[in-house]
Amino acid sequence: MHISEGILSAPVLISGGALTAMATAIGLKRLNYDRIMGVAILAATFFVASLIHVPLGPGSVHLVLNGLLGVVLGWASFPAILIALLLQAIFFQYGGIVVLGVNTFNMAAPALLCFYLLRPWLERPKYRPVAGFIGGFLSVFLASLLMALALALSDSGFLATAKIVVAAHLPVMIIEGFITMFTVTFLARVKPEILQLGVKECRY
Amino acid sequence: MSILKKCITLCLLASVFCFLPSVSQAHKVRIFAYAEGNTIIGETAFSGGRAPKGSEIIVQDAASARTLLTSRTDDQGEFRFPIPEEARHGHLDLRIIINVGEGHRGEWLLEAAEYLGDGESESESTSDQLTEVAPASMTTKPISTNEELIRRVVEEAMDKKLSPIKRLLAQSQDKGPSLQDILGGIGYILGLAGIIAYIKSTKGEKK
Repeated sequence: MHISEGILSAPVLISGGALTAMATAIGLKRLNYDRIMGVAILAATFFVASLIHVPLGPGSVHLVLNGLLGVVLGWASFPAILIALLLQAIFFQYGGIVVLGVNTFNMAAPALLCFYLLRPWLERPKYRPVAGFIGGFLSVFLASLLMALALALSDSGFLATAKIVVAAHLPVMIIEGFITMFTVTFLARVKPEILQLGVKECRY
Repeated sequence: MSILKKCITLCLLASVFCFLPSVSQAHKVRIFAYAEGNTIIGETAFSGGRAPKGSEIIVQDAASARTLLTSRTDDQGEFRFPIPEEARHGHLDLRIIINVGEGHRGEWLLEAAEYLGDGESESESTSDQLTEVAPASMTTKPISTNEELIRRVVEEAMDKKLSPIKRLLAQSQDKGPSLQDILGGIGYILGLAGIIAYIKSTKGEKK
């Protein structure tokens, strides 16, 4: 899921960085004081999740958990993922500093989309598990597509790259679907205020 | 209190993940190459130890970034190719790049001195000088060829003996993320959250 340095072309890097900077600013501005610790904890979860390797499929893939972050955090998933990716780049040499913007956008944009798509479903207990599964599945799927797009804009053909990337992440999509499903239903039962269910005006 | 509890469970979870050896596999491509006689042998692996099969290997001149040849890894993630003539003549430093696709890429710089061996390039130049001087003193010639032969044999033997050590060195250079890294990262995140909370709280006071 992390694109290494030295692959992407300059326009892709710059536009990815600009989009991430804007979205991060929005995320930080909307960040509610009471939510800061929750965001940090999920950022830490994201940071650690990348170490959990899924030994299935043709490539070497790991958990991403951007769906979970998206569903719970909304706009705040941009700063959370940005910080987590920065630390991953420094500590684990995953991705890199130059590609940080693109990588953040690739993972956080689908998360944000899932937040807006699935919020109405999450409100209703009956659809909650389905919404959780879709959140985990779709966010990894879309992140794979964005990653393939970033690679394609830099050199190779989109369709071929997309096929490889999506196929490689298929096991992760399914696993994350279940993880997100269980986490969301659990949170809704135990601590519904984390999901801000029933709140008309979401502050993030 | 509940936040504190969550933090503790998270840290516990994190440490559990680190202690499961098969679980904490990573996502980076490692590449490493050395010369053995006339061929360059290389090994690649994902940080977790799985081999990238059939991945593209690109050999470039490090100075000009011109591609000299391309190859592919075998099922063990290894590759080998003869030293390109061009590189041998031009004493080019080789940049060997593995491109796995899916945005994963690793590279290794193999310097000319490393694969040519200082001895060989020197002996070439000395033998050139010798051939120029040769008509004057024929007696030195057999000695120099003997010397060259010994040098080559020693070098080959050294290459063979040293290659496992080189391999070991390259592997030890690339350790997976350690517990310190992981806990450090979590600490950074919580610390940053504290800073943001502080900034937000001072702003709130002004209002």
